[in-house]
Amino acid sequence: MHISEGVLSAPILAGGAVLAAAGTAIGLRRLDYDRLVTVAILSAAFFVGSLVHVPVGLSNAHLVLNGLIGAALGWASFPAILVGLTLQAVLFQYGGITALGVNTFNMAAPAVACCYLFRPLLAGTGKARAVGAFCCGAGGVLLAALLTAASLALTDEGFIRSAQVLVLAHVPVMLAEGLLTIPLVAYLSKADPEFFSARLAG
Amino acid sequence: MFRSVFPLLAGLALLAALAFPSLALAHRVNLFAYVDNGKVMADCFYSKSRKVNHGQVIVTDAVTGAELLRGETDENGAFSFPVPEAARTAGHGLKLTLIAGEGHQNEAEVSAQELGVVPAAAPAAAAPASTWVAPAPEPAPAAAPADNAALARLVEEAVARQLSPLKRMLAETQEAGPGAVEIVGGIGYIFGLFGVAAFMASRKKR
Repeated sequence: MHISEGVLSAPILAGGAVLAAAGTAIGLRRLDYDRLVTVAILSAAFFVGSLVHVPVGLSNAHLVLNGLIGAALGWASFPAILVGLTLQAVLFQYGGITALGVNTFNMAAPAVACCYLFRPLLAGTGKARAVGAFCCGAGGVLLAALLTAASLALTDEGFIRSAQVLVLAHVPVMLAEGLLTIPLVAYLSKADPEFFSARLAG
Repeated sequence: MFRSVFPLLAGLALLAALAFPSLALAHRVNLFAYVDNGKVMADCFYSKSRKVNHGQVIVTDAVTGAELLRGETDENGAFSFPVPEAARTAGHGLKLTLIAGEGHQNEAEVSAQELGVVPAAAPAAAAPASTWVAPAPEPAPAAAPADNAALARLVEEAVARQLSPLKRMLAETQEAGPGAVEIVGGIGYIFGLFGVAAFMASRKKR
């Protein structure tokens, strides 16, 4: 899901950078001082999550955690993911430095979408919350895979083909993330009942 | 609220630690190229256990950028080809680009010295591919040049034999993924950054 250096054409890289910058600006403006520590911790979780390999099937895939981050942070996912990705690029050489904008957008935009789509469910209890959590985890990965396929398609590899490959490769990750997100959300709401029902500053 | 997220991170760190043996995995594709016995060998892998099957390797002239040949890696992520004639006559190095699909790409260069195609090599030599550029033979007894050439070839072969495990070892050190230093360091960076952000925000508030 991390696109390497030199794969994408310049206009796509520039477009991704602009979108990521806009998202980050919105995220920072809406960032509530009281949630700063939560953002930092989730950013660190994202950074570490990429090292957790999901050992199923053919893919060399790892956790993304963008669904959970989105549900917890909303637009602040952009700065959180940007920081995590920057450090992954510098320290692990995952994804190119020039592709940082595209990669940030590909993972943070689904996070924001998950926030709008599933956060209301997470504020509930019982089954609704579990379903919302699963959708959040799985949906974040699915949307990110589709956006990555779209970025590749805009450069050269055909969209249908790369989308098929990427989505198929990420099915195990989607399941793993969906299942992992359920207990995480349950735990977070138990520890802090306001966690998912509090209004995100806007 | 903060207290609720700390254990989350601790849990993830634990998960990462558990996954350590299979850690060198994800999203970096590696290409290691070296010359062995007049052939260029390319080793393509995500990690020690995950080779790139059927990845595309494009070989270009490192100086002019002209494409010389392309091929596909086999099941073991290996791709080899004899030193291209064009590079030998031009005395240029080679650039290998590996396209593993799904946005994974990396490149490696093999210098002209490594290829043994330094431009000074006189065409008259008509020597095997891996010939080291020997200093111009000194005037010697008539029989000597042939012996020298044979000797040079023998030395070369011996050296190549000794070096090839070293080259493989080098390739393997590249396969090691991120270690504890990078992981802990990265988390430190993140908290440092957000510490600065918190400091700025608190000043603004005041």
